[in-house]
Amino acid sequence: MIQLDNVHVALKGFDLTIDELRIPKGFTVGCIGRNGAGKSTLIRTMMGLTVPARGDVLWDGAPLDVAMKERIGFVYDDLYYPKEFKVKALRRLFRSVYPTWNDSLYTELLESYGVSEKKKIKQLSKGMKMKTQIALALAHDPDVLIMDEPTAGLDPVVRRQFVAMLRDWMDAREDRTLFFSTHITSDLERFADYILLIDDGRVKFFLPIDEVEERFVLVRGTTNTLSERDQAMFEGVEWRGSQFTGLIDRSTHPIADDWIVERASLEDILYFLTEVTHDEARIID
Amino acid sequence: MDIFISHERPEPLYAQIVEQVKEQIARGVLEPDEQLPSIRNLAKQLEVSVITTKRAYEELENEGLIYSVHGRGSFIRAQANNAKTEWLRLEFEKKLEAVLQEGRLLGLTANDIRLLIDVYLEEEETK
Amino acid sequence: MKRALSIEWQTWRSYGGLYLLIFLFPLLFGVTFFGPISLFFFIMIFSQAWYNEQANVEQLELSLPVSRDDRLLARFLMYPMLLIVLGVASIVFVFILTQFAVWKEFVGPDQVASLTSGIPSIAFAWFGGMLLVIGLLLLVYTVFSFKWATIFIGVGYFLSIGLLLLAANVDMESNRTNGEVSGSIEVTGGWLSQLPVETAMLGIGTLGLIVYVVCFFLARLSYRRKTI
Repeated sequence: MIQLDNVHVALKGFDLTIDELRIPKGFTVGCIGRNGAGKSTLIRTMMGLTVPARGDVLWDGAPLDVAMKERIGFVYDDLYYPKEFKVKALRRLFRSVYPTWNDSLYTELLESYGVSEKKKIKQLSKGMKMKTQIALALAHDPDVLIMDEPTAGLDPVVRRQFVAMLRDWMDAREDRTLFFSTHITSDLERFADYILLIDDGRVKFFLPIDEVEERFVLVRGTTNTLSERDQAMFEGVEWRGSQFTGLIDRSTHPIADDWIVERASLEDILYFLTEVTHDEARIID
Repeated sequence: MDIFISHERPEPLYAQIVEQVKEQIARGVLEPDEQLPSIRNLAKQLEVSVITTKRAYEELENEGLIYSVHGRGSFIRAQANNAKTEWLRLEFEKKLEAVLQEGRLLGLTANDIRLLIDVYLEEEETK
Repeated sequence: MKRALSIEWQTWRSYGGLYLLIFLFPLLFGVTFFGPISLFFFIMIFSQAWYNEQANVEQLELSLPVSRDDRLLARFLMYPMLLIVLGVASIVFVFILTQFAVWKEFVGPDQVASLTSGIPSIAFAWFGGMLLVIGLLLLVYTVFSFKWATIFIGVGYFLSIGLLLLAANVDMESNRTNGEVSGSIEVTGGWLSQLPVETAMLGIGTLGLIVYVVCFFLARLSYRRKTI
């Protein structure tokens, strides 16, 4: 569905480099990474807002054009519209540009979310702004949903409802594609088909969920069961007194039978695989 | 099909599905030529990714436990009876191994363990 | 293209009632209403640009199904369209006002005379002058940040006022010499005084249009590669 080749984005103080990335059609791709890792930049690059210094970004094999954008629903981390405007201004705007706009569906969604169109945008809470964006995105019946941290600022109950809603949306038709970036990895655990891990402006991995589960495990133990050689086998280790917890990639290092092995959650994977800066390391010590 | 998956256990979800299907076949819960839910439906039911259910079915097919008919779905392949008992026996051996390991960790010697087994077996016989 | 214009219009329509303010200017200022209208216009542009940058509106607008080219073209079309509408509305309003003796007394006979004689050429010169400034402004705003556009706006305002006063002065002078359009008028402006006034008006007007078109094409080149 979306193809990035040899892409390099150079911004002030930040670089994003993607050698090759293929987002498949009809699946849910969860993009995880720390704040500032490049998730938003990636999304902006896909949407044609950020122009890369080099490389190609293709949608269905062609550069992003107007016809393709008609099929894309987007939800960003904020409502980027003049804050003094009333919410109903957004309906006018979207209705005039999307040929597949369904006005009654939009009304229904806003009502179910409890968003009042008479309010000014600045009067909406973070959660309301998100819901408004979702309503705007869904109301024109897109084939693809691109979301940049849509659940940030939502409480856990609302987040669960949100993920359930996305599930329903994906299940309703077979060819729908969802690209969803978040640092709240628990949202994706039971939901994503593919996981894209971005760290420090680079892709750490892009794997289907079965492979992620297959490869990454947490190993716990006491330091006396760990030899020097063993330590190098971990993707990342953490020490608490004489106890260690480490992440192992089973495809590169098999597990010994007498180790205590645990499921590595996406958060664990993110934690152990990402770079900890020197300043941060100092805080931990 | 009743499958229970746990997000806490270290085994990948697809592996858990495979194990449970195997067990159900061995116990006769799933019968030959019985149709399995589609990968989409199973994914919905278990709230997992279709990638997981697809992988599970692929593994099962590779192991000769199910077969798929294009456009119709996946079905249980008839297993020779001894294949079923073979599997159950393997499961038993695995459990035995785990128990023995625990015994070793507790500090029991091979003799201690043999004595314990005899005690239990005798109890069984007198019942 | 229709979509792009619609998007551009959304922010303008929100000013709603403010547009009625323009009718105040001929009422109060007579022929020099062109000055205050320009100022008013620049304030509108200023606030629109400020709002857009504050709220990062382009991020939303360019995610919608419009091309960057169309979006920019719509912006460049909207300004002349609004200028024409406002300009024509003001002129019509002024003509209505000239029917009222009360108003004529209020602004004075000179004003009225010059209004009823030289309006079309003054209007065209004003239009061209505005386009010249707006074009450069939009270009700078597209290529650079809001800060530079703001600096330019101040310069642009004083320039256009200067030009207009010059034009008005020239015109009034020509009226005093019995409607004769001649080159021997004591007017500051160097070589401008050698030209017939009408030609000067036409010149400024046309120059403005040309500059505007050139600014559009330059802006488009930059906009295609701009990171929002």
